[in-house]
Amino acid sequence: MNPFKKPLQSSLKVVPAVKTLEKLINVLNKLAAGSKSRLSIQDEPADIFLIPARDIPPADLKKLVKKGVIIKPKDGIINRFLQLEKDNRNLKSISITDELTGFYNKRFFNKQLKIEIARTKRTGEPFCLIFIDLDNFKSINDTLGHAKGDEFLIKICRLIDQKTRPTDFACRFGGDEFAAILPETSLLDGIVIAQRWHELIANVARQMKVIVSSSMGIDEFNANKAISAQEFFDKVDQELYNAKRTGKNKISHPDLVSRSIAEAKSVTTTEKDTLYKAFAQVKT
Amino acid sequence: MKTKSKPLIFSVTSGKGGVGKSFLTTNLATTLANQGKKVLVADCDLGLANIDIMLGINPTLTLKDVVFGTLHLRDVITTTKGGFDLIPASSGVREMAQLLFEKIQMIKDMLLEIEGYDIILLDTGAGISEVVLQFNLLAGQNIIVINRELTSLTDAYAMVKVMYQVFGRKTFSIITNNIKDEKEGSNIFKNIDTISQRFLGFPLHYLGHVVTDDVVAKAILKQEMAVLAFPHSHITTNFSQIGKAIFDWQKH
Repeated sequence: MNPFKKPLQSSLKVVPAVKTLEKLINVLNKLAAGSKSRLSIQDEPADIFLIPARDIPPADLKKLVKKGVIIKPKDGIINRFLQLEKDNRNLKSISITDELTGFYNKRFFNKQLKIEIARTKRTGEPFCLIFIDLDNFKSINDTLGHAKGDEFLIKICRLIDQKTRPTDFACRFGGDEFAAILPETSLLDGIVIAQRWHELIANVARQMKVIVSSSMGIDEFNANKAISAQEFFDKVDQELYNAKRTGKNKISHPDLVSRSIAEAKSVTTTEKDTLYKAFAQVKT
Repeated sequence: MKTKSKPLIFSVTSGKGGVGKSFLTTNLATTLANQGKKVLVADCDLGLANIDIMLGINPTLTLKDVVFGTLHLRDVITTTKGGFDLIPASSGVREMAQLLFEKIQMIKDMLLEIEGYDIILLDTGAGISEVVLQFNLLAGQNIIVINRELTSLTDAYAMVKVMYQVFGRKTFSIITNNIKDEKEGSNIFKNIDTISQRFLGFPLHYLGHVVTDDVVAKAILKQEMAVLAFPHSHITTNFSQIGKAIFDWQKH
């Protein structure tokens, strides 16, 4: 097998150090013997393992040399591998991030939304989805130029990024449209976060002396919701549309009161049981 | 002396329909009026208003003229033979039962502006709809009516639970209606009180009971107030005790 001619695959792994030398020697022996089967170190199967010589203690290195298996750095193979791996990561990151703001892009968002829905169904922990649309943003580009518009976007994204918790995913769909996934967050907490961002955007607009505000739609996905990713997406989109339609510069969310009424209204079986038992005692 | 002070607002509510809310509200209002209080009853049962029918009146102006017209609640107040004043609702108007939030807010604001009464009783509709909850929220005190049926207990408990969990309210008064005797009444109350203490963490307040009495059916048939038509009946005694209990409860 010639790994150099193969396209980059996710199975390509760089193992910076191998704890047990015996295993390494074992692999290298197999390699030297021209083994055709897939190699593995520490039970991690991969097409190739890279162990830079500086990570191997000098004494062990000597043993290896004695065994007659060594790749000389001047061959440039290691460097080439490391460079490829670096490029690979770079490519991966480019494919999921937005160039201007460094936020995740829509491609990543779509994937993550499905993951979060699956997670909620498994763990029962709700998550929130926020859609953000800037009001009047076009006016900056039109009157002050695109550079100023970009500056505004970068500024708010940097601030939002500082305010997001490490577990949150902030995404830019393009233009002045953003979305955020807040894992393990209830609607009540999500609204508080949305309000914070709403204020933050208003502050940046004030500082830059531009008349821009934000409209947001938010909803919670919980385990009771038997809807698909697309249906949930549409629901939050509808909330955003509500915010836009009813005057912009606001956060639209499902009515918390009617939602909690519905939840509280249901008398649980334990409560009913207790009531039934007490009731039966009165009758006798 | 009583002109400037804000009236106490009580709602009479139940969760389940048919437990005797309107009967209780009107007779309680009559009793309180007899005791010298200035009483206003607001028929907030928007879907199925029936206090006007109980009183045998056919008001020309109703809540409908406030909601869909330009009148203030004050303008539709009418006097009744029970000695209390009434804000009648119009029955059977479908759109009234699904009032917009803004309209409810408007009615609430107007109710708070009304002066010159010692007490306002709100007769809410049955069920736990948003409209009912809004009126319960407006009232300083909620009187929940239950009877000997198990379903009335579960529905009353659901009402307490919703008012507590959604709006944080913790004080509720209970009246048992249409029961055999005092003992049965307090036993039924004990049931709902126990489960409130156990699952919600607070006790309920017992205002009293109204026994089953033939005079009730007779009075309703004659479109009379039972406590006026049969002043020596058991229920008249029951109502005076409840009337006293309401103001005693308010004092502390």
